[in-house]
Amino acid sequence: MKNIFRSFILITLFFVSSSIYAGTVKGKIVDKKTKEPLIGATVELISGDKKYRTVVNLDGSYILKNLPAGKYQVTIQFIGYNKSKLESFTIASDKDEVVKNYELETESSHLQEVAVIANSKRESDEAVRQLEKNSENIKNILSQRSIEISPDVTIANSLQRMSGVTVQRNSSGEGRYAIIRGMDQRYNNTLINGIKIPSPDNSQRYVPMDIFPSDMVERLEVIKALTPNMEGDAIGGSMNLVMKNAPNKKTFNAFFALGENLLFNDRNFQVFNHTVINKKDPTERFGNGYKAKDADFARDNLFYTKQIDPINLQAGITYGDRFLKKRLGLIVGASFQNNYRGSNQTFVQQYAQPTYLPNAGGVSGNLYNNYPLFSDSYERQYSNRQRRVGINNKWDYIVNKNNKISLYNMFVSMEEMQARVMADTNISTNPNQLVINNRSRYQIQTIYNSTLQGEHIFSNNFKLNWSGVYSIAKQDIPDLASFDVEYALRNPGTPAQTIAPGNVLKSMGRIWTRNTDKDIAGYLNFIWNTNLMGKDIELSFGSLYRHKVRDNYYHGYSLSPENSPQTFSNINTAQYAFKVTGGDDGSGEYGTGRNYNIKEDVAAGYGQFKFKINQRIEALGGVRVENTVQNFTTNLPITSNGRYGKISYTDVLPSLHLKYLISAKQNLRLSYFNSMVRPGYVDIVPYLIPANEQDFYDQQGNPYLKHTTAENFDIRYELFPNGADQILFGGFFKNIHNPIEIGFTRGLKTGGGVSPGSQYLTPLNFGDVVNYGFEAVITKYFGKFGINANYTFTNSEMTTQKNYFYYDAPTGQSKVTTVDQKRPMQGQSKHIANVSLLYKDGKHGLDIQLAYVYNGEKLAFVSNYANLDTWQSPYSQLDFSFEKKIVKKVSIYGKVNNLTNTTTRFFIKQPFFSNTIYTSRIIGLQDDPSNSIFVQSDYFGASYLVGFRYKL
Amino acid sequence: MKNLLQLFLFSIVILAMFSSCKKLAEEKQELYAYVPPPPKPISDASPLCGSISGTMLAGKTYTVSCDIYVNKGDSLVVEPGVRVNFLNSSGLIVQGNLFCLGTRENPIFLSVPNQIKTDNPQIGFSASKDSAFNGIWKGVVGDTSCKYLVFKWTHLEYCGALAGANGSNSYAIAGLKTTDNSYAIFASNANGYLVFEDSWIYGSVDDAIRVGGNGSKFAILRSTFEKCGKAGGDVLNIKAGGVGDMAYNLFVGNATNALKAANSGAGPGIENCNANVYNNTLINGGYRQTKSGRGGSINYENGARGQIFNNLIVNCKYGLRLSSNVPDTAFMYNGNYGYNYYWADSLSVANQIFPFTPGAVTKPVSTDFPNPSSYLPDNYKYVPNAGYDGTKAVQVGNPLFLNYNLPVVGGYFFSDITAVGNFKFSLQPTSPCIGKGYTNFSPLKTVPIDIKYGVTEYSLPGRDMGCYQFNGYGNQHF
Repeated sequence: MKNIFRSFILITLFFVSSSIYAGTVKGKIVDKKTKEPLIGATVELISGDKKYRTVVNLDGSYILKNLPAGKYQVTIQFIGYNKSKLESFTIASDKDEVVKNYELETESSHLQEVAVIANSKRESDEAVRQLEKNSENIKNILSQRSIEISPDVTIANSLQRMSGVTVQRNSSGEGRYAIIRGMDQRYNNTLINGIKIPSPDNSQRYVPMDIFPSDMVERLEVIKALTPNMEGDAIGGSMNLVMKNAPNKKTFNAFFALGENLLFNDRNFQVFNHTVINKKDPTERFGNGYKAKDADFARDNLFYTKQIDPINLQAGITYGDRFLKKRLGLIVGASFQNNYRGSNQTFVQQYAQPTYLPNAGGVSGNLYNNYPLFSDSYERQYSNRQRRVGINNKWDYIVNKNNKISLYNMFVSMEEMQARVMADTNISTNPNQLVINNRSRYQIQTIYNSTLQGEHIFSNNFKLNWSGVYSIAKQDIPDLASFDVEYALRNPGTPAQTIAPGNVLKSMGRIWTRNTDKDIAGYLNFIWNTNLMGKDIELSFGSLYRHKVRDNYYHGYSLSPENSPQTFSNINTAQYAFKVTGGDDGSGEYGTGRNYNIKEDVAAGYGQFKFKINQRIEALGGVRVENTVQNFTTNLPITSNGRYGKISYTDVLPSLHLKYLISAKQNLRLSYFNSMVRPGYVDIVPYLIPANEQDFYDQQGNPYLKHTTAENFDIRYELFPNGADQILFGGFFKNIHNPIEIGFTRGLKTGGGVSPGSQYLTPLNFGDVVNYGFEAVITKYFGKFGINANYTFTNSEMTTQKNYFYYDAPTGQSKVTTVDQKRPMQGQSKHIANVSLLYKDGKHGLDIQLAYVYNGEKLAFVSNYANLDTWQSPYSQLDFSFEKKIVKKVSIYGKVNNLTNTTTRFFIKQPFFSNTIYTSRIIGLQDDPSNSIFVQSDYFGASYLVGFRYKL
Repeated sequence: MKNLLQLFLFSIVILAMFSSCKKLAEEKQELYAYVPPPPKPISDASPLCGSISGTMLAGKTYTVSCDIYVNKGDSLVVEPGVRVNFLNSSGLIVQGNLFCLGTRENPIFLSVPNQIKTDNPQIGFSASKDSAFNGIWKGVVGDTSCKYLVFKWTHLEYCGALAGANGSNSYAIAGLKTTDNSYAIFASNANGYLVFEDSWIYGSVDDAIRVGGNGSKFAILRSTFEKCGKAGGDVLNIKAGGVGDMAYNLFVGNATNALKAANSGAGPGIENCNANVYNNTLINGGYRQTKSGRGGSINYENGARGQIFNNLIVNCKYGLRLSSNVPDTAFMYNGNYGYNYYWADSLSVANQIFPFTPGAVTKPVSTDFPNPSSYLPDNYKYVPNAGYDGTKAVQVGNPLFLNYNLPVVGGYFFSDITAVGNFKFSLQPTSPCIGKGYTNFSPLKTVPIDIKYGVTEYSLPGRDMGCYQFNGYGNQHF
């Protein structure tokens, strides 16, 4: 690891160090009209038969050194601008320094007939700066080019570079869901070209953002203030993936890269044969009422071997061109990634209820109430092979200057073959008993979206556009298989990661689960430019209708070893059967509410105005109305309340956005908008997740839940000095009603007595919460060097009723009482920051980036008991990337993730008393015993990737 | 600049007026709500199914064809001599009250038809070949609204069918998934009463009686438990909120413990799990549990407490086990257990009178028989516990049962003897168990005394070890 890091430093230094002083020409190149710097323009000096070239930097400057004395002719070239042969001048001596600033004029547009905008650089940083500056509302944008040269390979990882965004990581340590301004993923939505897409997640609406390879997008927007013409279901923000448009000349790009994850230098990557997995369960194969037999279940998918060379591979191509006299445009992109990732996780499981310590810290009579008890210590090794495929294409056809239609198709899929080896050591009632569980999970997630759009201009002041959308998202986890082997006892402190023969075979579970989420939607928008009371005003109105159908299938089987106790030797020879000691007779179980269907109809309409109040103030506002009707059915038994139902509500969402143009380069924005968030599917469907699948408690959906609404205020100051530079300062304030978090309830939501002892996890509304904070973004280039930094502060407070376990001296018994406790919203970090150091040398075609991300302490899991919440310690990660042009059109690039080998750390805010007799590996590793109990760590390892990129 | 702010604020006021359409935003919920069907009259002429209420008349036989319910507020009274045959893996769900009022002469049977019992010891006994463990019907679930769950002179047999996909929510409250085996009896009302007097449970797949949910007040007296638990499960398993007495019971061939108490599931208003266990006779317990170290007689863990005296523990896999995570060990060590009588045929049993399993912290007390100091090493440590050589406790102090030879004869393993059959576990006149008991403590008496709404009679601590007193007091199943 160290060596790799060192060699990267060396390479970096090699690229950077190359300057001997001599005659120098420098200056700035800008647009004649706008005075914008023309970044990337080529400056060429010709002296006799010698040519000297350079490329304009991000701040618009250029510099040419080592020029011998002589007479020079200057030529400047840039797409969309007239090639200009400019003056000649003379360099008198080696020491001479000449300053030459030039202004360029745009080409006279020859494409005016058909409205194709000559904009070859729309995926660049500076282009998105213009978009941010001219935008009607508050948003942050990341350009394709900055994603391309960043260390990130998925959209989720790119998102974490953006102001106010943190990510929830998956079991490979990669981002999966985005938390925007401290608002957890449920409060945010995902758009593709402004169109909302469904999620393949089996329980929620939010889209796993790691399904998208990062090379698919033209730019990534995080929209933080909603306008009436946008879907109103985002409180944190909307993530909009703007896909590539057809270029106006032939383009062809391709890349190919290989890499590895250094985690697998230390341990094996476990691989199983996923091809033996049957997509259908035995009942589906053999008919209803079929009683499955052991032979109906494959065994090879539980047999692990070592993957010889877990080499990561990524490749992609993009082709685009225009045909039929440039009327028909096409862009096709395909992307493929095959990655081997993983993590080593160690954690101790808190027991469902705490205890009191009569002699805390070994001090006799030192009573300590409400102290956590731990039941198990887990060591998990994940080996995740992820295969991502992304294909998208966009056709646009310009019928005439007033009519344009386009068709966009996208297909993304992520297959994940995950082998999990888990050692579970009891540290409670049967200490040091060890069970090893092997679990094989093959998951296929796909999203398909097809959008047909039309734009029609009826007259100079009346326009119409429409979209017809079909989307389908699926997740299929066929035959999630796991089995246990119980060991006599574990010798404390010894690692025990592999399943070994000679121990006792235990139960085996096989679960088939899948879901589909299908959307059919239509959008229609009218835009009318008119004059009202002497002012030009743009009025628009439109509507949306979406019909969604979601199905969830669940069928699980449990088998027991025959002739118990049976000695385990090999999973392929293990003898399993149904109904050995009672239990499953081969019919399997369909769960409680786990087979469900939801139909959701959303009808929305809006009216929006936009006009200039005066020379400096632009106003945009209006009202959006969204009506939601949900119908669900489940397989709950007839005695359960909420077995089926209909839920409907209508939200009226006004908004107003004011933009005050302080100067050509400065804006001040004020925004107000109302927005809402619909609960996830299993939040409202009474879907029961049994306690043995998670955290000691049964969890059930809550059909009586209310959706969340919010009033949002934003203020932002923006300064765009030039080029890609920017300074943004903003504040936000959100008044949230009925936020939803998973909490505890007494008794089942679907009926059954309300009893203090029967506690269930369920989504609940938590009254009113205020969430506020501020953001700062600074991007500044100094010649070839740049810095890009952002910082967000977020604060919120909510009150939860919690239990408190104590020793009651008068009765001499342990008792439980309730207390109110304040806490921030789940998943929220008070402080988050990103810093990227950039080096861009256009002349040598070199980009280098060192990216640092910091997430402050955050609440990870809320306990039922006071002071026993699990927190995550501040997390920071350092990533590195570079790209260097090697020959014309071809560059080499590399990405290194997690240079510092960061591990996560989770803890409970309680002192650690080492008077538990049986300690686990993690309990033994207390690093701050007077303040915290260290309960979990995840180690992902560093990974790197090196490849080539070709650009026509 | 100032104008801008004024304009913004003014507009917000206007917009706020829009938001006053809050009514619209409120959820309109039309959700399915279960209304229990009105109870049907009870008849022995046609099979019962669904909600019932009323009385099952003395001496009659009733058939149940699908799950039957006693709705909240309703009662089912079962008169002496009634037999109820549960077909189709059905069960009884009690949201109201259940009174099974059998008598010595005319006991009640809640059972299934056409089963043949195999009560004699069998060499190489296999639970999978004995229909007692087949879970032919579910059992009785008392929901959180059930106030009285009363069994007197009642046989429950062949319980433990799967909770099933169309089971009541009451099974979910019992923590049972559709493929989980039901308990013979489940009670979950902290303000309710579970009475199990002079009754029998024969055969169960998992726990025979579980007191969970938010617990229950209970009295389990003078009863007999045979063949409970197929490959795991305890006879009586009580959680937080369970408070009561378990006395004068006979246990033969249970899979794990005869009693397991754990203060799990505590909550506000829930009492500390507290079980007094005295004068029970435990024979051959713990040999069908497939997990190691789970106990075979009496087990207290996770903050449970109680008083444990005068139990006669014969050839059980483990002795009394107090688990290390009990902050209540201070209470338990404070003279709240002792006078328990152990018999070990073999060294392997004697070596586990103080369980040498992880986390067991049973402190030896000198009132036990044989006196632990007679066989434990001088430096015996119980925290953390250490193994010892129990040779000196092997075959010491034969309890001299009326008809059950010790050491076991006939080449049977302990696991081969799972039912009472022709054995008699009452004491011979020369038994050393007579007169050794400790009587200076009281039952908890959490259930009132009443012929219908409570306990008929509390049997007070007895002078003789085990459930049969030489003077005829105690267990009446002879």
